Amino acid sequence: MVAQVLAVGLVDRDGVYGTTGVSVTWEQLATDPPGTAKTLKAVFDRTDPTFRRIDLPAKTLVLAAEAAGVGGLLTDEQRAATTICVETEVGSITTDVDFQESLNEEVVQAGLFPYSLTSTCLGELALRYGLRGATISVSVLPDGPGEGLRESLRILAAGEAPFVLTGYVDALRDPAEGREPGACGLLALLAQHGEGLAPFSWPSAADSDPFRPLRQLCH
Amino acid sequence: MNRPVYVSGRGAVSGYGRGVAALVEGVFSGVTAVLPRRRTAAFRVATDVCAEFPPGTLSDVELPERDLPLRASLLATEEALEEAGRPDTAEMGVVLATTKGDMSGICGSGAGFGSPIRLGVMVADAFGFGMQTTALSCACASGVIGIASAARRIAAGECDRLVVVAADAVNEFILRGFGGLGALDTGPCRPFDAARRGVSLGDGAGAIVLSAHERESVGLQVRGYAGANDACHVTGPDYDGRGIALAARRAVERAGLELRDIDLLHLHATGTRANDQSESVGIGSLWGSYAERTPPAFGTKGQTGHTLGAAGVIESILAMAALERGEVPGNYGLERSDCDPRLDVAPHARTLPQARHALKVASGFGGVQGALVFSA
Repeated sequence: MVAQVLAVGLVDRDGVYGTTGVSVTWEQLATDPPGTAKTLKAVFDRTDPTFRRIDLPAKTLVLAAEAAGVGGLLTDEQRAATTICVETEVGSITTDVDFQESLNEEVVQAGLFPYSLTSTCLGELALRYGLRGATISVSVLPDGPGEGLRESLRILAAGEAPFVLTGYVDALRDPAEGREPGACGLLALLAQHGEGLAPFSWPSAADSDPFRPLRQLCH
Repeated sequence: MNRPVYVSGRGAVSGYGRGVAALVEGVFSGVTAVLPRRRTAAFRVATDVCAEFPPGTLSDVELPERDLPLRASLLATEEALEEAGRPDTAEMGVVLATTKGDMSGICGSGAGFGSPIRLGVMVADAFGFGMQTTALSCACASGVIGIASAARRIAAGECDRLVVVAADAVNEFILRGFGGLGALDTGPCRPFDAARRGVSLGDGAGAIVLSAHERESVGLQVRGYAGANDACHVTGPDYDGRGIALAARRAVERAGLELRDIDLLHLHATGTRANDQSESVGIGSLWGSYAERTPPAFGTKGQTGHTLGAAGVIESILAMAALERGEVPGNYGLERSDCDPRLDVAPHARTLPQARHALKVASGFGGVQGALVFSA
């Protein structure tokens, strides 16, 4: 299966980059990743009234989606058929810890609980961009990335969806599971057919960095 | 390649105890496993009940008490492999589906930090599954989406056999999470009933072995699968039920069937006011285009509790049981529905001797929707 890459957005320790041409560092933005609602306004001239309350992975993915220009690439009909399939190593561990700590307080922070599910941050993407295909959160080990990409290619190959928004997200406020704090995420819009920025083919299980070709399109 | 996908083995551990037989007999005989809380009794939350694993159910699995999802997964997988005729696990893989997996490091002093893939690897290691282990967390639709993922790989010719294992166990984190959202019924939940007040939670693990070979089938096939998203709200449903209807329609189409071919429905049916209303409108509207009512429909969370990530697999096993028995059980706790009347739910059991195709639907936080079609 060879898919076509229509767009890519990247959030990493250095900054925000995308095939829309956006290229800005955290230092330039004078904030830490994944930024604030002001970051969205400053980089994309976009106002998002709920950005402040969503969790770190969701913020990271929204930035990556904006850097990819997801909102302007598809018709309403195409959005309705677009699947989201994103992988994560650490999942929602920051929210998990915060919610668990709130159990010792007088009032539980109930608003955090839904974000303890990794699919909720993908729901934030579906909600913002009107993506009504399947929504799949894939859990991966640090030494085994790429299953989300493979699942995305399977879905395209089977004709289940004409477009898949795929990638990865790992965002932590505190050190955990051997990872340093920070936010990194990538979203790539893949198409079953047509012309794109580049072809993308099945990543080998032995490939330790199957996202590299997608990241390279951002720089 | 688009090969047929057959069901060759099933296993379950639930509030009824060990085994598919206990689960199916419990549900179809109208008994509930949602009982006064015991293991979780110390947790301060506004419900008196939970469908916990009965005491002793997992006692001969030599792992710490905190490892409930893993212990239950191992038992369910063992049973499913047994029914499948002990296939060579070296040539099989696992698709693990869960909401949170092992939470023991978050909730206590254990090593689990809610990583589904780590739970999957532990199951794979225990049985010597030689092919790649994958893991999904898609909220309360995890089990359904896990079956879809495994079926997709078999249909594509990537492998001949996979086992889908889904598990979650109730803990303080989950109970108080749902409690904080005001989503729990104080007593056993009553899906679709006018007096319903919320969900009841439950422990659960389910396993289904899927195969490319008809000769290994128990007489059932995964014929269609699809997903969708409400794209409406991350915790609340779309009150028009468009997401669940979209997933259902896509699954039926992928199965090469029409709505009129579906003989029975297994619903998500949580017992919350919002879910049941949305589900009834969505599914009712879908069928409403050509019929006055849907086929006979049922939900089982009033009996098994909501087993979260495991629900999709456990409830798929019950949907398959309905096909095999030619019978739809009564909706436990339902006296009078105030939901869309086009959804055919009833308090009593109904016989369907000619039933061939069952539709199973599931929903979850994040607007996630999933649907499967099973055929006998």
